[in-house]
Amino acid sequence: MNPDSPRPSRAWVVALVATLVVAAFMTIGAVVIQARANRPIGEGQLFRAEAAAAAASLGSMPGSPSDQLRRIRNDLEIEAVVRVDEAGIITEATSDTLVGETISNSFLAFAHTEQRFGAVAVTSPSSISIDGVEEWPAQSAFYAVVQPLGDGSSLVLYYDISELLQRRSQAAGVSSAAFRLAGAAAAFLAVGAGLAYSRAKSLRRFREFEIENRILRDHAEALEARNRIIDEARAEAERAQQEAEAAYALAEEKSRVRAEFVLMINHELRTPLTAVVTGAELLSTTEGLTDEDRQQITDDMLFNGRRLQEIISQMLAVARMENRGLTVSMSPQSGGELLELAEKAHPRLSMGSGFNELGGEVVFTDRATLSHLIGSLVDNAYTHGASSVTIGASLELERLPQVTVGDLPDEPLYLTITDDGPGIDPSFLPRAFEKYEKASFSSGTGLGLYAAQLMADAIDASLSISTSRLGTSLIIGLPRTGRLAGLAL
Amino acid sequence: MRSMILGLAAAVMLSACGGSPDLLPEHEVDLFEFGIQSKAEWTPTAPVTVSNSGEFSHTLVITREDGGVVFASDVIGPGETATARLDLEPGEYELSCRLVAQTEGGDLIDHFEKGMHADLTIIE
Repeated sequence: MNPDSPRPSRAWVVALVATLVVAAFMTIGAVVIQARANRPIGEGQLFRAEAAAAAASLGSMPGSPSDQLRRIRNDLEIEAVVRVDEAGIITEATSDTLVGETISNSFLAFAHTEQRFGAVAVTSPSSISIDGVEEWPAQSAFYAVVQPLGDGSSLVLYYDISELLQRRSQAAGVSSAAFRLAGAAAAFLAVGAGLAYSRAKSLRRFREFEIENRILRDHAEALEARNRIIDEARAEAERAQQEAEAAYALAEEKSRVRAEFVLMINHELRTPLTAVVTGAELLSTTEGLTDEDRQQITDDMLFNGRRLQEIISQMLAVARMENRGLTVSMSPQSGGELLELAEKAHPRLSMGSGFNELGGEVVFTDRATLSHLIGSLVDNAYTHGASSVTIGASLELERLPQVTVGDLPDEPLYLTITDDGPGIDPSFLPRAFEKYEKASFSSGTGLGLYAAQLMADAIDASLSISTSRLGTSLIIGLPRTGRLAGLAL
Repeated sequence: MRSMILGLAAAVMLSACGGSPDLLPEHEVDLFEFGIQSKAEWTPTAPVTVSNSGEFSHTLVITREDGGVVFASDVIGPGETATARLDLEPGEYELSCRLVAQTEGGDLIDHFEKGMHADLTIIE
């Protein structure tokens, strides 16, 4: 669980401040109370209260007057009580030795005469005895308290000053109220300290959590980096595997093509050769042949012989191009020159439209290679079932071709050779320019379009196919600018 | 507690209206409304002169820290002087006036509470 955030909550701050404020007020209160308790306090209030109570009790007390005074003395736990008449003479006393004495202290005499309450420290002029026992020596110090009785007489109460002050000194100390208040303040301070401690603990936990978090984050980043390396290695391995598979497929394909080529050679060469040999045997061994039969056999032999010648010638031409390349001599050719070249390229090639619209356009090409290329394509068309082939020229194509090999020149001039054959199987198109590739039902060598591509490449031309069931167009894209005699224009 | 021991450690000679000529006062105490003027430190054995420069009667009581009385004068009237010879143990003491009067209106005037007390140290 995520511990508290380092930022203290509002409730926590309010609680802490309130606790500290209350504790502060309580502490101040305790100090004030204690200060008041420590304030010097005289005995006046105590004397007046006790003396008034004693005077009030006199009337209701049983016993003789001296018994009453003794009772007052005992109740108040004081030293002596006397009663003084109007003349200032002691008439009753808890100590008989005092009876008949006169009040000599000037302040006592004054208070008695004025019938006012008063108290003053006095010293006894002589020793004082009670029941024959000397209780106080001469010069003993007392607090004498005068309490007028209202009839001119007064009660005088004698307190032992030392005992009184010692009692007060012992009673002095920490005020209970101040003590309680200080205790409460301490409790509040403890609560505040508890709050602060819990906060500090929480903060420490938060910092520990942050450190753990950082360590975990570092670990996660390290893991992520390792995973990335593993992924890259895996991708690399997959790429290598794909390349290996592709290389294997290529090798397999080459092997397949080579095998098919052997079969093709076997078929293409043997079939016409067999026809020639069989025709020769027929002519030499068969009797009774009519002139018409002989002519037919001779024609077949001638056809197959030429067929053989053509195949061998094509294979040799390809081998020559592959081994030695083509030597070309590029030169500018006008539209008219192109038309003239096309007309001579193949005897069964019909002239189509476009040549006359070329105007002053010029292409750069090698005349011999271009002528050979056109002738090859026308041958190819007739080989694959065309009955007529036409050539035209244009600067634009009516529709995009389905497949193109070679780099299309920037500003091409198109020569389009169109036949009325059955068209090329679309699935074969991607392989149409491959060496030894041919459609399964085709009777060619699989070298025609391959050889055409080699020638087009030699003259910086592109070669495209556009085919349908109604026929096929082979399009030569010739450059209108280019190299001339090996120099860039 | 009936037993009581007055801490009068020395013979007290007290006379009103002028001191004894053979005692040379070394310490002086002045009583007035409402305070006590005196040096804070006394030597242990010292003649003391107590004068009342106020308008009311006063007393001088000397007590130990525990409240025990070591000296108590009689009433000293306005303008009067009393002398005493004290022999006190070194320590902390308090000088005070222990007189409580009542005015005609009934209010109490407790001289001690009014401020007539002062600390005293008897040095070695």
